[in-house]
Amino acid sequence: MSLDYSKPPQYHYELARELRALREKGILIVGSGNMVHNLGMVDWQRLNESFAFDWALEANTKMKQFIGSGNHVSLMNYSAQGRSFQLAIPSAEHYLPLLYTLALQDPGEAVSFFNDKPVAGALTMTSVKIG
Amino acid sequence: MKLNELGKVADGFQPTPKMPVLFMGHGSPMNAIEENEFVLGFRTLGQQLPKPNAILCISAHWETQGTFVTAMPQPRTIHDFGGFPPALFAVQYPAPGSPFLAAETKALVKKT
Repeated sequence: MSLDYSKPPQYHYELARELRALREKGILIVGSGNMVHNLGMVDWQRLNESFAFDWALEANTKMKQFIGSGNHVSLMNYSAQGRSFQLAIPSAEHYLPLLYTLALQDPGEAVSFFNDKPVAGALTMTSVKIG
Repeated sequence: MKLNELGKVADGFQPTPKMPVLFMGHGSPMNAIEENEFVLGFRTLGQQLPKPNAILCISAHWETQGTFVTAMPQPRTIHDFGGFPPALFAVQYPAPGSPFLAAETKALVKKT
């Protein structure tokens, strides 16, 4: 399913809510992107190294805190979360799939992280499993 | 087909226990052909998941005006990058599409 680049984050979240019934029909729904994704800031000489610039680590840590506490509103309002988020999300397309995933979380449903590591300074591979 | 006609197909998949939902940090395209810790993480997760009837992916790499669902039986593999080794361009992912799931997805979404 495509991302409508003309729509705000809230629209994507609400659209994804409408897909909830598919979970109980054996459909695995996968958002594919990166939480921190700034190719202009990537250190291409260290592409295979796991390290994060300070802002990347800060943004990724805050995102995980918001996810862990179910604060999806703050994640939708990512443009109001300060400089680290602005650097982490220079354009929305790699971030928006996260909102689809979170929108499908039931109240109180377990959330866990895997592949939780940065790459090349300005990317994070942090992945989320709900349920 | 009109959206309101598509509601009928929504019952075609049998009910199952609730499937997990994922967000996958995909990173470099090289993850498709390398063996590294991230690939290991994906593989380990895959072995723990129940086998799905189908997969619906919302991808950073498909942006449109309006929301669309891939609905052909045999989607081709698209290599939407440059400057990577030939081995990566040789990768084919011949996963069958699910026009039925596409119709069901479209039927569920009222927003657009």
